[in-house]
Amino acid sequence: MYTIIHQIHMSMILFCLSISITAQAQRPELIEVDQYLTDYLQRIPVPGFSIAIVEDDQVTFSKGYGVERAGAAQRMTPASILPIGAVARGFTAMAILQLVEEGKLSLDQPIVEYIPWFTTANPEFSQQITLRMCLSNTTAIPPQYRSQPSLDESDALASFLESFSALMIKRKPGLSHEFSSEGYSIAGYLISQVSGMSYEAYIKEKILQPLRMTRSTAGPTFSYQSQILHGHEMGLDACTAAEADRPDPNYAAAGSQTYSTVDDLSHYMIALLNGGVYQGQRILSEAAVNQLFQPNSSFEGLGTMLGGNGIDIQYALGWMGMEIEGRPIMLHTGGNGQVASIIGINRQRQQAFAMLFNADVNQLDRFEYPGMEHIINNVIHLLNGEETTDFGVIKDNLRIEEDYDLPASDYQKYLGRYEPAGRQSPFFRGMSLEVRQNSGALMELLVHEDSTFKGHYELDFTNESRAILRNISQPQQIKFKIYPDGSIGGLFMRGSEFKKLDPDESQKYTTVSSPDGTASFELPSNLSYRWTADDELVAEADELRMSLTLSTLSTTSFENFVSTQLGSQLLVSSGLLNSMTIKKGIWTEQSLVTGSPGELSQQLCAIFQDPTSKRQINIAVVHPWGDYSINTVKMIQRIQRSVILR
Amino acid sequence: MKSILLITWANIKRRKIQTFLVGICIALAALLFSTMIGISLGMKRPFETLYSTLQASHIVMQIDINVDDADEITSWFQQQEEVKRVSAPRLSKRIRPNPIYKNKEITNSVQLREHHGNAQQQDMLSIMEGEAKEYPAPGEIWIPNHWRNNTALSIGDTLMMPTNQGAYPLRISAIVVDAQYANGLANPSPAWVGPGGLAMLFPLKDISYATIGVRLHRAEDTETVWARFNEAYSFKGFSTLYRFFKQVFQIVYQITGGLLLVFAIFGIIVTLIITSSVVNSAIKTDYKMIGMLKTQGFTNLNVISAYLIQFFLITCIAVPFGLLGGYFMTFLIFKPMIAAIGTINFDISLLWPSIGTFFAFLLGILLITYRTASSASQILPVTAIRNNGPPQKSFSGSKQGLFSLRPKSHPVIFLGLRFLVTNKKRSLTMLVGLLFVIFVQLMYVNGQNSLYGIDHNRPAWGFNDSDLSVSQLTPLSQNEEDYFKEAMEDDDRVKVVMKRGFYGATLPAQPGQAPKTIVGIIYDDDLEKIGLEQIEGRHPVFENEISLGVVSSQNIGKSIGDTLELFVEGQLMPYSIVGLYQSLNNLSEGFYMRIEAMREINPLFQLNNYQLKLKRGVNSASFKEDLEMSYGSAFNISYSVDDLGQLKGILRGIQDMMTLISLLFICVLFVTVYNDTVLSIRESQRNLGIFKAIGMTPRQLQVALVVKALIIAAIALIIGVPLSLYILPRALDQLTAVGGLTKFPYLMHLLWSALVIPFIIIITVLSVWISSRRLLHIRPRILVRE
Repeated sequence: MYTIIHQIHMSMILFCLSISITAQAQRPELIEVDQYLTDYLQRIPVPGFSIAIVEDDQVTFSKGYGVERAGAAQRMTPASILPIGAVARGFTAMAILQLVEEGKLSLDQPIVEYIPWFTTANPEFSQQITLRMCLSNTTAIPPQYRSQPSLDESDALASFLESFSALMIKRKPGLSHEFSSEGYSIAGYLISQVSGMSYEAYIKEKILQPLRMTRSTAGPTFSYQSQILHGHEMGLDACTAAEADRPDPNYAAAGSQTYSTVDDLSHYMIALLNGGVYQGQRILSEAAVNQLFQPNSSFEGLGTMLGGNGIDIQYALGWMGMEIEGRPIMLHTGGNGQVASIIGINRQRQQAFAMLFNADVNQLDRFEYPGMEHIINNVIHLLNGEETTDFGVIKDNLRIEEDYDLPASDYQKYLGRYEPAGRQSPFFRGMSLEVRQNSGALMELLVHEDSTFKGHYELDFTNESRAILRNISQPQQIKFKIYPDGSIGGLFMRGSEFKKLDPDESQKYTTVSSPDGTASFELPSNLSYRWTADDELVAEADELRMSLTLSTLSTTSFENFVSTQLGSQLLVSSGLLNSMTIKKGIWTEQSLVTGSPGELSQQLCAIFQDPTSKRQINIAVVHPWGDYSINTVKMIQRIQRSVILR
Repeated sequence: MKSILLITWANIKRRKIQTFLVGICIALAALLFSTMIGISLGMKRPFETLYSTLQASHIVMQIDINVDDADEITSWFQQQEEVKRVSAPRLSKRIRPNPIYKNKEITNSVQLREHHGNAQQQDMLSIMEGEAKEYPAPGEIWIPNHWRNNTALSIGDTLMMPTNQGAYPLRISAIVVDAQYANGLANPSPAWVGPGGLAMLFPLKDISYATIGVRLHRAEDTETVWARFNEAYSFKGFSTLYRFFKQVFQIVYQITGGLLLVFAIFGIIVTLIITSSVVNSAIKTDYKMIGMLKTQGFTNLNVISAYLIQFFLITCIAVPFGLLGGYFMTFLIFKPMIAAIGTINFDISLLWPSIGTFFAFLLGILLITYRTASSASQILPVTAIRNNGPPQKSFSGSKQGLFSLRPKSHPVIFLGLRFLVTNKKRSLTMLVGLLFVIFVQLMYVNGQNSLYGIDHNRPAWGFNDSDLSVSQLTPLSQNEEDYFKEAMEDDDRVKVVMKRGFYGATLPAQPGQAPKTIVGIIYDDDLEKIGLEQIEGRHPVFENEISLGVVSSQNIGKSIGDTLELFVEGQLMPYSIVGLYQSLNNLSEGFYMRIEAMREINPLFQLNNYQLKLKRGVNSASFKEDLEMSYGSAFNISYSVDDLGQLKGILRGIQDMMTLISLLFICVLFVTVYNDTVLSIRESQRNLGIFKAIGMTPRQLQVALVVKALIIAAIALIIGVPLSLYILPRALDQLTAVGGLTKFPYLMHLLWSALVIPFIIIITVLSVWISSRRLLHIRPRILVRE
């Protein structure tokens, strides 16, 4: 039944689309735009994109180019659903202004008046933060990225905001712009607190539904979930289809899971062009719409070296004001490494556009491929019967060409796997690297998330310790860490450090598989263990006892697990609950001290939950207080690195 | 014996001022000497006692548990015969940002370590305050004692430990002392949680460092064992050795003690000279009396004994005062150390050193007194009584011819010149004494001026000349924009904004020599912009360039043009030495490098301190206030001169010592001139009687003596001032080379230097005037003695 409905729905979309294109084809400017975009697709190594153009209150052009997935036949259409990234900030800002109009919020009241517990480590600053600062990126809260992943998203925003208590703000809020999503997380949390609805429900009820954005969502409960395109990873000379969605890592809950189509976004654009009214229904006052576009802060625009004009960009509330060749445009871009989006409004001419790309064009090598600003500017030119320009195209060849050749005899020491070390950039959370020699005897680097491919680069060494990663994306430099004995200790890449795994180290560990074969991990070779009849692994060494059990995934199981472990024991002290992304799953752990004085025990309770396999592992390590050793830490770290659930 | 004592007492009574001045000189010399002894003893004993009591490790290794093999390292050390004990690896973690106390980050950078209890018999902690137990309980932290001096932390307070999940409260349950970081001069400073305590705060994934300590039977074997280990094992972690801990603990006291030693020796020599001079003067004055005593049966030994007893008494009174002063001075200098480690282990007994000092001084003074007083044995009673003093010297013919000319101008000047040539040897001695005093006084005024001028002459001392130092409390992440720097660059009031940071690089091991860590300063711009200077060569500019501290250069044996290999971020990098600098900061050990050189190796390397140089006319106080208003507690903003705080504390001690030395030499001047005048009067008593008989007033005779002294002073000043001004900077270069300043930042103060001239003249005149009052009592009837 569902299949039939779905097919009917798709047929209707395609029917509408064909009508739209037929009508548009009669206007020469739109024909030029169509031709230009067709050529553009040929110039970039991106499988496909979709675009919608709105003029006054009409969608005058909408079309998909290329395919939805590299290697597949399904065409991109204006109805293709993609993550829209930071474009979703406009929805959050709109929602806040709705609540301001209702008198429930004020843009210039300090946040602490609505969230009294909200604080940073220096409250004299956090007490000054207002909603306007949150929406205009001037809170001064530096990007924190999400530190506590959880399968249960219901309190994700609250826990994210709570983690700010350890954070020092480095400058007075409201002074200058810093691209950070923390302000939007605060705004998202306020929306849910003031409206009594979750962020997702509010956006759906107050924005998406009134705008008839039926194929859009601001959260995971989405009837078109299966139709979401995951985008593509960057390969050596082409894009490779991504196997899973990559949620925006620096965007906790509020807007981080917003998906839409250019068709739906065109409704949103119509409402904004018409002073907040869509098909006769007002969703925001005209004054509030004007406020959305009112600049609050500014930052440096696209420099002349990169083909821009260097004019400062004004940041309003979820929108950026840019001046391109004398024409003011309000826009916002988004991207997550696998997809990209842009939405723009030319209020003078009552024109707007939205483009969704199924690869992150922001990351393409700008020396080879034109940037989004270039495309958008020329689409606007063509739409208005003007000649295209080279705005956004790099004119000077700034490429660094190196003629260094790493001696082939040295290749061997670089080869191997590299695991994350220390604090990781969100781009690499849960990922590992592999340096290998390809069939053409060239050195290359692969990025993996578990067994999933995430990136592929050729290594162009410029000296013994430095190499440039080359593929279709922006070239980037990596540094190898070389020890005094000449061995490779690790590498630095995009703000993260990776340690090279010692092949000899693996000899000290044994791979252990569960009796049913659904789980495997490594344990120290000298640790004796046994599987019980209940599929529980029990290992004992000296006074340490470890138990490891396998079960099906349960989102609320950590508390239950801890409580089971505690039993009737007296809890003396509990450590912080830490959760992190390990491979594709979430690892949650907490240390507890139990017992009575003189007979204290320390317990490490950990759960690894893998939503893909719907399985989880519960681990409990118990030993007398004071008997903690680096071996316990190393054993847990080894399990984290090696665990696989099927 | 009674007669001897009576004579001694009469001598003291008659020469109260002389006695008092000699006493002061002896006391000051004893003070300097005993302070030096106190510091020399004090700086070693607490450290060694602490190290031994707490069984501290001589080699401390910080390893990444996933890189270096803890078992292999432990096993290697356990097999070495020099090794007494190897600790099990203890987890540790550098805390960033710093812990928070009452909404403010504490200033100490912290390494949180797990402490497994003193039962391990290694790297134990001494609990200064708080409940005595093996290790901190869950939820507790032990903090080092020196934190208490920098912060207001006390037992029961809660420190908020920054973690990924927010701030985790830890209750301070004990204030402790560890041997290695006791005085808080080394960073990061450890604080302790119980075993497994780190896992209560941080995910295990983020815990990757551990500390391994190696305690040897003998500290002297540290370098040998460490060098052998590095040959056997490719160590990839960080290490700190006993020598470093000891150096950090003692460095301040080593410099102070060294300087005190020089001045104490100097003081002792001068005191002995003065004593000799005073005894000599006394013998001349008492010439007739000695002759008379001899006729009464006094032996030479009796006469000498009278002087010995006199100086014995002076020494017995003066030295204890000096020792007492030295005792207080020693404890004043050790106050910071006592505050850091507590008094529990500070058990230096100054009793025996004091007794030793006392007897050494006594022996020295008595020996010089005996030697000088022995000249009394040459006194012939008949001659002494007939001459009413020592035999009068007559002018030789030629000189008499010269001075027989009747002065047409003024008889007083004539007399002055006559006094001058009457005893050339003594005049010469006075001249030399004056030269010495002039040198010391010029050294004092210009030395003080140079030390006071450190604030305005910082580059010469190796510090930059920025106005404000701004430290970012939360380091920037790699992709974060540096808004503060941008804002400062855009600020019209700011002339220069430059970032800097410190970095420890390691010199590779040489055969039989362990690797050594030297700390460098990394800058992100041209060092000249903030006034830094190289005493030779130029600043580093390119990625492969480095400038070295002069002491490092000497230690390593490399200079400009040479290539220096350094382990930076684990990599052995060759750098070309392009400059040599001196700096009291780290005593001219270390290096300067540009950030480009660091980023070449570690692209994530960040600097988190900004040096701001303001434009002329901008008020730094109001600018600082503006910054604090804008950036609040996110940045730690201080005046750059405050960086010199600790150094200025040390320099203050040196300044105080210089004042002491200066005072000592003013006494020397006074006593020297006083003695000379007294002796001149004694020698010329007959002539003086004649002059009085022919109608000269005592005042005219006094002026004549003043003229004589002034002529000597004038000659001394003419020779001494330019000579001292020439020698001084060079002498100071030598004196401060031990502290890493091969070129002392000498700042001459013209006015103060000029004022030395009238000052010397005033003291000279005063001394002559006081000592020549006896002229009033000379009777012309002494002429009839023949």
